[in-house]
Amino acid sequence: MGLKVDTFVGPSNLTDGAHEDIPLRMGRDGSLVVSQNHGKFYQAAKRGNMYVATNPTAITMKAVATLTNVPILWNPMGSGVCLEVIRLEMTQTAVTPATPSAFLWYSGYAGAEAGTAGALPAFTNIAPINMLWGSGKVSQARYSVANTRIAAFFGYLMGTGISQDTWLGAATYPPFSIRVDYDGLLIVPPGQAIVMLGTVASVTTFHVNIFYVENPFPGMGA
Amino acid sequence: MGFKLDGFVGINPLVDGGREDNLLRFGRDGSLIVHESHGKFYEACVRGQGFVATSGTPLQFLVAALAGPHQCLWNPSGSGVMVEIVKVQLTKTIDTPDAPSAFQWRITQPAGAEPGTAGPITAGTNIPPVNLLLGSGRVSKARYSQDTAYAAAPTYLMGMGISQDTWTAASTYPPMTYNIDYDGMFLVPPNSAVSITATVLTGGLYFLNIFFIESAYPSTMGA
Repeated sequence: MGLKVDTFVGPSNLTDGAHEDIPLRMGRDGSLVVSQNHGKFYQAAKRGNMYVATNPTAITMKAVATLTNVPILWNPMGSGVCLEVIRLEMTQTAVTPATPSAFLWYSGYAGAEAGTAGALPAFTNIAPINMLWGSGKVSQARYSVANTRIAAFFGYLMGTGISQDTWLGAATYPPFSIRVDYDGLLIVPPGQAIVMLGTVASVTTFHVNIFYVENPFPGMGA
Repeated sequence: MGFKLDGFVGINPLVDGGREDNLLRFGRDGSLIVHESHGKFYEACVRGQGFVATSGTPLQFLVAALAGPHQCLWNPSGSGVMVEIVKVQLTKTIDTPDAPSAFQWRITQPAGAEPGTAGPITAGTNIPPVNLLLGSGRVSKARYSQDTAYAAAPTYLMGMGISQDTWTAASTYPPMTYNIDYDGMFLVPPNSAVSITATVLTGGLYFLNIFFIESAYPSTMGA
């Protein structure tokens, strides 16, 4: 016979500070009943591991063939961390005419350092912001919208799920939001970089926010 | 009576590195108090089990009655894995005229192990799904193709929750997102294939992303 746990079906009425003989709460279907104590990302943020890579100066999205000044989130080789991508947000700044297009992710191996011999000959870092504001903890990852990349190192990864339609300066619309939740579904290991590109260059400018958690890198795969 | 846990009701400040006599935290109602350490899909992805089926070539969505070529995610017979669909994204590229229509999931079951003239899937060029632990060498057991041909039109499974209205080149709209979260409630077992079709042939072209997790397939279906 296995070890039994002392449980209680239904709500108890306990007092703060009680600490002995507390049965685990069960549902009528045998489920263990739990309650969330915080927002989903509190633990990561509170420990200083949650960052946002963002550009204070809004930029246009560049076409796939463009090799300069595109949003790049890069986890340098040797960083010791993997980037767990949580969310992408784009904040459009002005209603200038736009062309129908798709925003895409490209990815590739970008090595440890920027330089003429690698995927990123030039890379001006915008240090990602720690979401525990004021934390002295600095991200191992790097983000840039002022850079040069070598096309051969990068290939199509996937769509972002974000599209643009024709947009005229005279158009009037209610407020809108552009947001994609990854929730840990995309992981950028050391050496890899992700790049956001468009099927057509946008005239409209955007602030890009990429939220991610830095975790110790456990190695590739199971 | 079962063994008793020494818990603590309310906040119990602990320090990193403490490992003895730590008490589980309880709420006043007896709930065990928990919170997450990561995003929902981190554990699966960091173990190399998260994939996205996608292609760099955007395509139209066809009506189901056409035998193909359809975009299809296929879990072949004998794969040994369950495909757990967690999210689907469409990224529209161009502003060609569209008619009011609905996007639908369709299923082919049994779908077999290999494409061939004698099977339910007669043709389909595999575009290997991308491991979401970027650079991982772990390869998906599932197959994705954009040129899938079926012996018979796939069967309606459900609507996608995405619809199109009349759309002309002169239309102007704000940026748009097409994201559908399934969060594991849509499972594709071995010997099954799913496709996306439209009630009217789309004019617009779409990049399709189907995010999924591959898990060991339990030996029996259902409970």
